[in-house]
Amino acid sequence: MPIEIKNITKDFGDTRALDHVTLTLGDNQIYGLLGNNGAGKTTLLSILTGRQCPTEGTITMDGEPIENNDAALGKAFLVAEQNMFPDDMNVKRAFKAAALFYPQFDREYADKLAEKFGLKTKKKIKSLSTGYASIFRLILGLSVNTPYLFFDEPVLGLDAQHRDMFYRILLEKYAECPCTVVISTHLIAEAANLIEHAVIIRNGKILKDCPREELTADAYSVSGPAGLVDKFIAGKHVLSFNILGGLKTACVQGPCDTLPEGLELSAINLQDYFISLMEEEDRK
Amino acid sequence: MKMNIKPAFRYQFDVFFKGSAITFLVIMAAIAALMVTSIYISADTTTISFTGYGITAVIFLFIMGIVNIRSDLRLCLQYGVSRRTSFVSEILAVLSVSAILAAAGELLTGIAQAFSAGNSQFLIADLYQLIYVGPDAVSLSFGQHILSMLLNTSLTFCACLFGMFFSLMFWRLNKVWTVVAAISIPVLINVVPILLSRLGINLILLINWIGASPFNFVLFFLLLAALFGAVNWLLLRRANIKEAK
Repeated sequence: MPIEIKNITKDFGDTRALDHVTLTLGDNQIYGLLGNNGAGKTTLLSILTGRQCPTEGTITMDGEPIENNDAALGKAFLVAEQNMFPDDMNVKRAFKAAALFYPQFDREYADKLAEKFGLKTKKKIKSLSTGYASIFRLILGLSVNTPYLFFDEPVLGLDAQHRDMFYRILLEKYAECPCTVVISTHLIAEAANLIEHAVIIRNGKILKDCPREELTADAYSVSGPAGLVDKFIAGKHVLSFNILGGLKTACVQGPCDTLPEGLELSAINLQDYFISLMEEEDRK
Repeated sequence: MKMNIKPAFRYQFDVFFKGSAITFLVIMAAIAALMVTSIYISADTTTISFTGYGITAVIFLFIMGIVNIRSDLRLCLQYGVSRRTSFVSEILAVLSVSAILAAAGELLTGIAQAFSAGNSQFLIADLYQLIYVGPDAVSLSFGQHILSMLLNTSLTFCACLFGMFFSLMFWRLNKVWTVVAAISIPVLINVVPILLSRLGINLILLINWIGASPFNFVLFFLLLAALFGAVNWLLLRRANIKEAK
């Protein structure tokens, strides 16, 4: 398997950000790394790219350990919220430097995307607005052509049009040259159509790790009069529920029985499933 | 583990070289201005001397060490190069630039000495000449220039690694320890020589040993650089690399 994460733990003083995380990221798939704030998503991606060192555990990329290994680290690119570029560096120089480090960097494509997004390449990276700083990093990520591409909150500060453009370009790029993509985002509804495999992380532990369809196919939402809903969900695995007036809506995991009259059944999407799962965990 | 030094070295060398080239041009302009003023313009017959090339290079590379280590490391990690490779290539880049800057200094000193030969109103000399030859020597032999270059290389290289040490130490420390370190450093500078003296270790002996031969000087500063290099790596080895504030 391309990326094997074995028993990774990361402590920051008394806080345990990752707790014995074991995960495998397969070839040429789009992964959604989902979790609440502070779940450990950014820490995991930082460890995967050598920015942080795990307290415990090992990571291998194509069979090679990543620690101080340029052959492995050079196969991955992280598009993160943080600006890792020097203060005086402009976009053009960052592209030039990218070509130095990644021989497969497509400069022409990067320039084309910069034009498409309206990114001024002569501007200093530090002086870019939040949205354009995100666009700059997205363009780099889309142009480096590495087999592993990680996005941490990729659309931070982007307007709806640019977000849509990014999702479409990412899909085009993925169709052209498939690679392993990991998207960590809070905008689950927007990215849901891209995600093939979902990894849900909470308090540094992996809660779910399975194909997206498998997650949502196994759950459904039932709504109707509270009494009827309560009777129907009795004994079932209820992820979450909410009551509005006399009406109750419940998210249930597991097979669906024949629905009694008066109740309405609907499929749930990835975001609803995520919220329901988090609510269930909150109650524990 | 495989190291991809070439791109990291090229990037880091470029950063150091550009800064060094500007510094060199400024020093060159200063020397030229001093020479022209003292020999051709000024009616005053007092001697004007320039002996600060080596020290200027030391201060410059000390500051470059403080400034560059973090930003180079961040960029390398962003572009898929490990911290170890980034550190090794940074050291190689510093060593190369130190040697180039020292060689350029010898060339500059040699040319300036040739131009001002026989003129008592302008004197140019560098550390090696001041310590081991004497400021009155009109010019240095080729061998002496080589020794002077080695001396300046070892000193500037050590200064840069010392700068990196400061940068990395304050990067790793939290606010409380930063204050503690800031207070401790000047205190230690004053207290350690006294303590060593009380323990029977005479620092004058060390200074005399360094002054006895340029090879001792080079060896001492290379050993000191190796010590800073090792401490720097320990500070960097498991640091969490974050964006600049």
